[in-house]
Amino acid sequence: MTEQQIIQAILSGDHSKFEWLVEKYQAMVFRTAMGFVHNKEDAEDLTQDVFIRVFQAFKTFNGDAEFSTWLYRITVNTSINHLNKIKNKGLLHFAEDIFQQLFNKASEDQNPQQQLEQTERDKAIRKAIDALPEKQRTAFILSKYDDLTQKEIAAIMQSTEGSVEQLLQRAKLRLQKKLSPIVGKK
Amino acid sequence: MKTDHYIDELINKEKQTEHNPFLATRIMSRIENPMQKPVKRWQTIAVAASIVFAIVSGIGLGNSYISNSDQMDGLYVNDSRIENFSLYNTDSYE
Repeated sequence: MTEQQIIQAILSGDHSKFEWLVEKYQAMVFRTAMGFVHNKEDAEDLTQDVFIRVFQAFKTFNGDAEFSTWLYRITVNTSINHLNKIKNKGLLHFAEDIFQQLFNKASEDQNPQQQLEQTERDKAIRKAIDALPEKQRTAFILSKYDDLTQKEIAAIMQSTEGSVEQLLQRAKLRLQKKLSPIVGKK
Repeated sequence: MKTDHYIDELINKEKQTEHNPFLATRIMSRIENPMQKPVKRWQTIAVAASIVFAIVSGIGLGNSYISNSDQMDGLYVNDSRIENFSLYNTDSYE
């Protein structure tokens, strides 16, 4: 059965075929969510939320775009909504950071100082990515985490290739400007 | 560029993170039982924090109890005023 036939079967009411789509696309959704939240547990929660939304909104999928494009759009929107919701939970995230640092498995080929430097560097990079404006961040994540072409990103963001190129350039410049004084000197 | 290299290194590390092998099963279970809500991360943290708080309070209470029991207490019994129970056990009493 092709993907198109499976989608048609689900649209006709055969919900058992939905598992096939979940199996096929769960890694893709999880990877994109990781780009937004940088955390395995949160990315798994988001992946679940995305597929439930997809299931609930399946009837609205009209086939104008590729199924993967539609799924990417839902993933990006769900991730951004999630980030907006937890924006004010600074204390909780501070506690999570501490837990993560405590239980992070240390690399065996690094001494404690190198480990500390890497942890601080990673933290600064994540913070810089999170601080990008919404559109720049979305384009950056889709390009870097999902290795999508500018054409594919443009289709997901309902924009043009030219504007995606601009968003990516700006994101790159912004990250370099922000990180060079912190990361570059180490 | 050094910065680009570090960014790519972090992204590759995050991309290699594997999701739970039962993720699809969990998703399908939630779809089939829509009433079942997932346990959110903050709920797990709240439960863990409550357990830690309970343990710390228990240890604190335990310590405070030991510190107050330093003073010497004694029981003075005057043997002559104790009732002689052996009287009731003797054959002659019967």
